[in-house]
Amino acid sequence: MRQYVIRRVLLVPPTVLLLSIFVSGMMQLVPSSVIDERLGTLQEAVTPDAREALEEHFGLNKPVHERYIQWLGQIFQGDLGRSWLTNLPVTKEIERRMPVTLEFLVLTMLLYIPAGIGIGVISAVRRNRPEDYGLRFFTIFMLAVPNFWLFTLAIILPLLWWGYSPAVPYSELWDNPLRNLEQMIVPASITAIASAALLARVTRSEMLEVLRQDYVVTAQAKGLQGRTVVLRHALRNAMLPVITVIGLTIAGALAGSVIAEQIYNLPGVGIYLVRSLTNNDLPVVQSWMLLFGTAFILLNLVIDLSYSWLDPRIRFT
Amino acid sequence: MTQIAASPEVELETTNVPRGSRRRRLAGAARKHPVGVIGLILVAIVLFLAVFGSAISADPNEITLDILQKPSSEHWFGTDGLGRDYFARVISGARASMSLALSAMLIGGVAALMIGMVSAYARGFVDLLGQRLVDMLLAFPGLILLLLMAQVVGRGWEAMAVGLGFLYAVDLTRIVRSNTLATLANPYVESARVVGASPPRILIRHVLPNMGPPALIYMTALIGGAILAEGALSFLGLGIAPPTPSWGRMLADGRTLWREWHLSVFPGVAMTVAVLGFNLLGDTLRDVFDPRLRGS
Repeated sequence: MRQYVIRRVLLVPPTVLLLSIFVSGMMQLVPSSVIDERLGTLQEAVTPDAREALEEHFGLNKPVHERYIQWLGQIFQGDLGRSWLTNLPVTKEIERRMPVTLEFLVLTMLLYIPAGIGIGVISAVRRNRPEDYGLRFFTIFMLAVPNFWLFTLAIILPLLWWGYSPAVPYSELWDNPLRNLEQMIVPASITAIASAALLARVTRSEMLEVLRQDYVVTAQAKGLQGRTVVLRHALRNAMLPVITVIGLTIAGALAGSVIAEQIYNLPGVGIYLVRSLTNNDLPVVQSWMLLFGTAFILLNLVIDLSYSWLDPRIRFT
Repeated sequence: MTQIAASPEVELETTNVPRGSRRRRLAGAARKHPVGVIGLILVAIVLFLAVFGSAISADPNEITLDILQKPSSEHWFGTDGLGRDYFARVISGARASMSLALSAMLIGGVAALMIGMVSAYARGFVDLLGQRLVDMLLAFPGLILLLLMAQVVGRGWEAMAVGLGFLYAVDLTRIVRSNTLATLANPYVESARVVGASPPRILIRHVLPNMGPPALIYMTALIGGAILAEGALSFLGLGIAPPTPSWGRMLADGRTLWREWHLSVFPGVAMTVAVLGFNLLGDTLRDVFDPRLRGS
């Protein structure tokens, strides 16, 4: 066990290093350069000398490996670089935008976890009854519906029927909590319900597995209440794969927030990435990808380690 | 070698014994998995419309003066802001979506087979590096990798197929690798090595035939995800370039003309039907052929 933890933790730095090479390499492959992008139609008017000066300004005249090492050195000093588009430091932008995305994620998780586990448990306990069929149909259906379509419908239909739309522009959580909640709740609930479908399916199949076990039969036989058996004896033992799915969903919801932020105009980190990508703002994209990639790698590590911690029967050798 | 070549014939004989039994077996399987049959029917409808849709509908790119018509007997799904028949556009969106998802699967499948088999066969450093690379890519949610790919490879149809294929190859590589490792442990691989077969020959003649079914089943289950991913990219304006109709793009355009509900409803319904079909079919195939994953 201890050896496994040490091995897994030691593998993190090389994976992150590989990630930085990958991200930086991808950036080299982007076809159009920042100079073309910013000059636009002025391109012909620029003399070769001026172009060289620009290249030097953006550090594009140095060879690839030198730029990579310079970037890596910056990262180690906690400097994520400056945006080519706005000349603002990336750390500032992410600091300012992170609370929005975090609030969205927390709200989504608060709705997602009870919904997913609840649907799964009800479905398993009422197996092959109408409730089960109804809930299973619902989850299968939700896995097929594109979430951006639901986002769109949730904006259009209230507007058509009642002339209602959430207040714009975005207000900060501490400035006006009610208005903020009004803007957040719809995208968060849609994301929550859409991702709850997968969690419900996993919970259901795990619960069915556990409910068959001898100790559940024993608990029932000694006359424990049905609810106690389900919640205290069965659900706890069914949680293991459920936790993996929850962990993966956090990563997925972060990606989903890219679309939610775009449609609902929430000034989070997701919309920042899309805007930087479409503008070829490479320093931002590069640092963003490294930062979040590292976060995802650590998240996966925590999930894997929680496995052995939660279930002592699992021994990794 | 003659013994190995003889084995498929033996299998053929056993499956051919009573006449008509295959049809009966199929009927039995269909009764046992009604959900899979529904999936198969949905997939068949979508594929039929993707292939022959242009013959039964109007020109999806013909601009007329009948703009923003509500659905009627003449225009089943109404018309869009340029007076184009929306039914024709939704149908031709099926073609774009299907061809993209299927070619992505083909590209991803071939890449995953090559990388996964070589990685498992080589072991050692190559395998370790390959696995770390896969771990790292798996750490990213698919959509974010796709956004990056779209920016790097550009907005073309081919570029998107390669990008999506690459994304699914990451997933498939792990399946192929573990299956290859299991296959390589078989005695017939050992004996092939003893008689002096070269590594490519072992991989192609002895390992590859074991790889087809699991990879194919897994890929069917992934097609739904590919359709959704393409839709999301096109919706964000990073997908297939207009005027080629794409469901995601149509939904994005429909959002700006929110008074016309039909513009936002029909592409979404079409997409849901297509994804639902492939998901149901993929789940059933997995249940039937891979009991280890049953119920998940």
